[in-house]
Amino acid sequence: MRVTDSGNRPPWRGTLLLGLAIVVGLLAVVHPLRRWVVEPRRQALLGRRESPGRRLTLASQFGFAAASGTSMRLVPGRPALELSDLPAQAVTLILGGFRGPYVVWLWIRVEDDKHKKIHFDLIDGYTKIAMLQSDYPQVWTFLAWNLAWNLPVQWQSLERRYQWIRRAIEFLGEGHRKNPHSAHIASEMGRIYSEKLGRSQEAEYYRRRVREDFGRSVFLIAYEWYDLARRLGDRYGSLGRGLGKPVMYRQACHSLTYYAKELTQEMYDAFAESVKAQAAGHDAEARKAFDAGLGKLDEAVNAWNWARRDWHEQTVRFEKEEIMTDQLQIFRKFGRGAAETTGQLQTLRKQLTYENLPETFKQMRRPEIQ
Amino acid sequence: MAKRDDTSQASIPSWRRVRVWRRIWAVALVAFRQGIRMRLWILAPLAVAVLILTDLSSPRFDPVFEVIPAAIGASLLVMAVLAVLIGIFFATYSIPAEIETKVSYSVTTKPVGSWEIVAGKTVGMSILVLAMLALVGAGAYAYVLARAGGIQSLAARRLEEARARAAHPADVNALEAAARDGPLTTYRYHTVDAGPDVHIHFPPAMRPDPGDRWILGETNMLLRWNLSETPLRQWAASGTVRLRIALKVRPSAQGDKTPVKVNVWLVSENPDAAAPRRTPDKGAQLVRQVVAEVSPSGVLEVVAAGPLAGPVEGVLNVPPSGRIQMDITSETPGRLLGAGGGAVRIIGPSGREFHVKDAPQDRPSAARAGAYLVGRTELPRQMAVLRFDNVPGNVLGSADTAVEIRLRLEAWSPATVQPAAEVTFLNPVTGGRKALTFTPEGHHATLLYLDRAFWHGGPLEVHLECLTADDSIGLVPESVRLRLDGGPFAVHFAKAILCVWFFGTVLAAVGVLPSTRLTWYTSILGTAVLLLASFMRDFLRGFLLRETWVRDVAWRVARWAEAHWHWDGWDDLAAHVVVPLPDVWALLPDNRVSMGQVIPLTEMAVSFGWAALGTVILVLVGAYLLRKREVGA
Repeated sequence: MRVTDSGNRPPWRGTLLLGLAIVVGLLAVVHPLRRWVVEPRRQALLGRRESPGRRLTLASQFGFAAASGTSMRLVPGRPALELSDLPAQAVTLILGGFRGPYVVWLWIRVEDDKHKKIHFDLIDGYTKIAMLQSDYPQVWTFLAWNLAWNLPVQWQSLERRYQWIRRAIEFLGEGHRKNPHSAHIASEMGRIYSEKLGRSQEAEYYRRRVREDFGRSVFLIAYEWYDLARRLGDRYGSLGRGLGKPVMYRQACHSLTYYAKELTQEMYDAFAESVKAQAAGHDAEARKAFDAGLGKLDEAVNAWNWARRDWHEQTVRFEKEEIMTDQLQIFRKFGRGAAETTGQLQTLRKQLTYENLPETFKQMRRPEIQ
Repeated sequence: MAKRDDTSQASIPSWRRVRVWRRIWAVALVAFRQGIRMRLWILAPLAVAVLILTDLSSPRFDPVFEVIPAAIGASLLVMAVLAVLIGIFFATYSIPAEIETKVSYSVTTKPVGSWEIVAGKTVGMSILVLAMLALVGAGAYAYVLARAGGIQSLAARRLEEARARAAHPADVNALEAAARDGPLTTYRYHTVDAGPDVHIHFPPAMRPDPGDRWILGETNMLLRWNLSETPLRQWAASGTVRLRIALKVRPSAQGDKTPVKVNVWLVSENPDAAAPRRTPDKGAQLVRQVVAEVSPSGVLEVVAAGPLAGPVEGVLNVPPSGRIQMDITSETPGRLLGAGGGAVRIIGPSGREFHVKDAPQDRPSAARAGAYLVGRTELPRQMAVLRFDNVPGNVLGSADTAVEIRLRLEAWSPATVQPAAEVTFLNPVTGGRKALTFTPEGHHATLLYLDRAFWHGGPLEVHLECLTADDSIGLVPESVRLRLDGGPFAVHFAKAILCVWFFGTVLAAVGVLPSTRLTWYTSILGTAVLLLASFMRDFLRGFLLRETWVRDVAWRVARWAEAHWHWDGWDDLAAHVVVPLPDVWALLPDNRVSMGQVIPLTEMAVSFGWAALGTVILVLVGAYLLRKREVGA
């Protein structure tokens, strides 16, 4: 019989084994708790329960756990855990009950730092807060609002301001990845593109930078996010508090209108260049600018048509939903405006020639994006 | 616990009391070794690993300027957490564990006083904290050094890109310094000795005569005469008085000779208190200001009357009481208006004349606090003058001296307009002059560097101007400061660690205190609650004073005390007595230290003093409690 001499064992071995046992035990308790208790509650709170029919369909594809909303990974569109989430999950697990006080302390610190204009730890603080409270869309949107609105104004250089707003977009993008069904986050993203980058005081600079960086109009990107917010809102009712449903839903239509205006501006600028070149006797340049203007005119007509259709669809939808009359009036007014501009531009397209451009140009007006 | 003979201390001759320190040291060593036996040192490499992992995984907005402050901040935070852990969990453990294991019998039966035991335990914990902080500090310092090397090369790369985009070469000054000297710089401030005085920067063709005072149109500059010692009030009481002012008007740089519009004010020195703004009988508003055009000859005539004459358009009412002063401001943008001594004549009702011989003041000192500079692209324009009398060369260090410029951007020109400002350094010793144009930041200091060849100590004059048209920059109280070399980074870091040690020592004393009377678990809870309450004391105080009846009680007690002993601070005292907790957390270094601002030795001494005082008080209270416990046992 073999006798083990426990006295010869290194003293740390027992401690190590005990530590491992505690960690495994914790995981064994916490993981099912999160999967079977916390996650279903979270899904229910966020309105992510699927309809019975859809659940049956999903059950046939992914199994009953996924269909009942208790599995995060399998249901399409649900936040899938990625390797980069590992530290966040580990820290959340390790902190346990101390997560609350720690987050409160972080909130106090980042707000204090923001007021004192101390920036070196700010993004880190925001990331930590969002990591520990990633299930709350309001946390993401509030911090992104700080990054996009309150911090850029603490700097004078436009480039630096733009970089802060880009940070806000990246940050909120991460929020969207963690909460893909939150219409609140999607609409906030649309707001950053439309209001901050598209229509703020410094928008001229930002619009140019967005076109360089993303290769598209800022209003088109804003439209995509607002449209996503509309679809998420319809399906999950996850708009959150803030703007009312009709007001939020028409932001997508507004973004399309701004996009159409932007294209019309570009058309106007191309024709202005052509007229100027004609007056200077540079015929080749004038023709080139005219052709570019015509191209922009076609794009503008399409964009205005798109905006008109979107306004019309939303008007019909809210007429059915019987919202307040003054809200409906707004939809109708902007819809009429889009239809009129579409008509005017289509007429212009039919009548405009290189020869009559100087005369026609006198009647043109460069639209303002207000 | 057995009762000890209390007379043992008294029987020790005074020459033998020197052994007290040996006994305290012996107890301290036992406490320290206990910590080592419990392998608390394992926490040190763990803390360094946590520091490195968290810092490396934390995103930064601008790595060149943020990584090192963040790494220092994270290091100090980790050390503070370590001190808290030792304070809460280990300092509360030692005495209850000795009582539990009956080791205390063998200690208390020796000729050792209860205060010596408590002091020894506290000192032992303090040494343990210091040893742990030294270990973590060494690891953190190595990590910061490793990060700094990478940052310097990153700054050099960024500099190439930034130079191409910078509006002015001086805008990349801070980046150049980071690429040249590395990010491990420390600094302390040297404030100006005089200024800001706001003057006018004249173009070379418009040199003013000495003795004349000049103001610029559409700025806050004014010409001010004191008319208190004149017969103005006396003459105005009997009839109409004319004020004839001989002004000097310069055409603009573009040769504009249109008439200059001025505002003439007649006010008492303290209009709200000393002089009513209305007539005594009818209550009508007195005329304090008239707008007039200066004739091509520069002579301006304004009519003045007494307050009883009532308000008449275009006629100034002389204030009925107080000292009288006349102010003139110019309304025409960019036009220079000046006056010398003897420019004002007062002509009374009977034709008598009084000649005011004094020259006007061009900008009264009282308005300095709100000084701002109106921007103009061409001369003449406003200029703030600041002076450093004599900065010793030996305090500058070996690197170029950084000049920190903090401004308040007041104007509302379109946000797409990039503001520009110009700072001119004058070295009065060599007569050297160096002008730098830069983009001012509204919320942040702009850092510019003065190379040592131009200035390496002694007097220095700084002129500040705003170059953006229709714009202005405000001068905050410390608009211009020198950032002097703060010494070696290692010393700076060590001082910060010492501050954490002071904090840890007080915490150790806080932890030992409840453990003299309570069990370990209760002591842990008590210490944690005390720390948390200290952290939240402002919130608690605000809550108690806003939401509960405590405010009424505190206010009544303050009123009662004020009625008996006249003192203005009773209200303040009453508000602070509500939650009488000391701010232990204030001992920790703040964000400025992370950013490189050195802690002055005086501040260190004050922190040390407070920490020592707090520790002694806690030890004495702890000794009292332990003694009571012994007696009880």
